[in-house]
Amino acid sequence: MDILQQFGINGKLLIVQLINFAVLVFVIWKLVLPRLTKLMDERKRSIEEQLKAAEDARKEVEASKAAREREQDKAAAEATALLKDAKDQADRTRTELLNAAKKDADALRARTEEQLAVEREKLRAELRAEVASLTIETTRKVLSDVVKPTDQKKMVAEAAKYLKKQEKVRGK
Amino acid sequence: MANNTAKTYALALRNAGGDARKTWESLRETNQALATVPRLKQLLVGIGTRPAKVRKQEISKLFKGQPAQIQRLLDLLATDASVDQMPDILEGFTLLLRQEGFESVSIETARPLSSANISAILKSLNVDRRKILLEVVEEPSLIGGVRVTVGDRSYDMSIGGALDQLATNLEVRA
Repeated sequence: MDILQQFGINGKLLIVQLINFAVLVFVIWKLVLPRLTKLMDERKRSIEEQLKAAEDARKEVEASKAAREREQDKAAAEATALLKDAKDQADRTRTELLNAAKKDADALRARTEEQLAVEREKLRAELRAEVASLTIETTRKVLSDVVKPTDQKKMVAEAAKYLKKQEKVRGK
Repeated sequence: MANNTAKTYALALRNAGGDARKTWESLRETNQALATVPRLKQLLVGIGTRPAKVRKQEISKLFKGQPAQIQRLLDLLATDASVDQMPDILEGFTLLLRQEGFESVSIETARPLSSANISAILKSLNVDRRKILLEVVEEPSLIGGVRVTVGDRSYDMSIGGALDQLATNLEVRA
């Protein structure tokens, strides 16, 4: 106790203060702390729930976002595929049409060439006939002037010989 | 084709007798004369209404040199107003003679033929010369040579014929 007095500490007061402190601690321990702890737990739970909810919401949002992005990607892929199909189809159709047109053009050209060949041959034939006719007519006119009575006599003599031969053959 | 009236006249003419070939030749000549001289035909038609004696005299004058049977035929035709029947009568008479074995021979020539030429041609035919009904026609379009038709067979030995054949061949080829 002398030591305590040297340091200015009242022993009795200290003991009473200690008893007060103990009583206070006891009261707090028994009455306040549980409630405080309960409150704190509740608050912690609440905060945790909120955090969880927020986390869930965030996850949901992210999931939605991901789903939306997947949908968008899928739609984009489908659109790309459709465009590609359409382009391929257009290319095929163009190729088919071009081939068909080329085939028609070739057929038309062949027919036209054939018709031209027929026309050419027809014209040639007509020309040949015309030339032949003119030649024969000219020959007739020339021979009419050229054939003399002596030629006629020779021809008649030859005709008689020919007739004799023919009648002989016929007679057989 | 000769009609029945013409055939009747032809038969009557055949039955009138005479040399068949000479009758035929006279008939042909008369027919040709009536065809080429319209005035002659007119006169003959005009004679038809005259008395018989006058008709016979006129016909004898107009067709001097023709055999009696021909003159009688013409008299009949003039009286019956059937002078237009002459070509058919000739056809009918020719047919009658063919049935008796006569052969029609037609010689178409570019220029006039001499008797020797005609004889040479007839000699080369496989036909009884006594039974030939000969007709010689000038056809300048033949140019040279002759075309001989014997019955239904024909021999073209003319320049014109050869040119016609050439034209036909060229047309066919064209």
